[in-house]
Amino acid sequence: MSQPAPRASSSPFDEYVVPEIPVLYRVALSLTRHSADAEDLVQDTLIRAYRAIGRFDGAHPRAWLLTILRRTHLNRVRVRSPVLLKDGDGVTAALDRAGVASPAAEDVVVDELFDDAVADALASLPQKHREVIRLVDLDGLSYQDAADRLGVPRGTVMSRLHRARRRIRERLDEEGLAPRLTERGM
Amino acid sequence: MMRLTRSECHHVARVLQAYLDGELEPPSARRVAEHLEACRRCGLEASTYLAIKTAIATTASPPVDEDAVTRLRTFAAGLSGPSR
Repeated sequence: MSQPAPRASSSPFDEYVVPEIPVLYRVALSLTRHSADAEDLVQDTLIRAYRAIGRFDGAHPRAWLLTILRRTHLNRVRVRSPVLLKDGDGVTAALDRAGVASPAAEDVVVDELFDDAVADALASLPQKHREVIRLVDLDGLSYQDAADRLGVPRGTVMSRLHRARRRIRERLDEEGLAPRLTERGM
Repeated sequence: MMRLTRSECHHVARVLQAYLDGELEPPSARRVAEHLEACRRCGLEASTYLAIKTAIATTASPPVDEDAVTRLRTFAAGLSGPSR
């Protein structure tokens, strides 16, 4: 009977989480490469975010949500594909050690700087490197499908991809944004 | 406990991208996963590249499946709606 309240102001979940759904889905698609898996991953992320929204301070919602999404993805992969990432796998452990998987306030701030640095580095890459990044990381193509799309051997896709990511990694190193073993008491 | 060797780290460095992209065959993927569990340096390297993949997908703007986004918005409304 009552008039529905404007969604943007009706709850922190609606204000901070719902607007980020397209970004969450895009990232989920990049990580899973399958639309159905991506939707499942975002749903799990939304559930976790809903449960945790009471403890969220409202700062950097996208970084906070992406951290939840990444952690959820690793947990799902570990459970579903024990061959690929068995229990206690190194990636999850390393993420925890690096603080990448725990959405503490200082980490999400670093995440935003990190994202900006990656975007800058990506923009500075040669076209053929950006192209292969787009096909694999954004469109979710396999190496072979990307190779077929570009009309190059699979090995060329791999070498361009590796070179492109290494360039981005080097840029992060230069800006002091790549995690280091010496940080966090390791 | 796996004995860590420099050659093992070099091998993992060569195949890490393919591992993170899900392109390795299961036996190779298992070997990499075991190494990442045991080797902090390689594990951290893996986490960095995973974060790069995530950041790329976050900052770029490819077309998004609007139907999927609509379904997820409906799902989100279902989470927050009934309690109010």
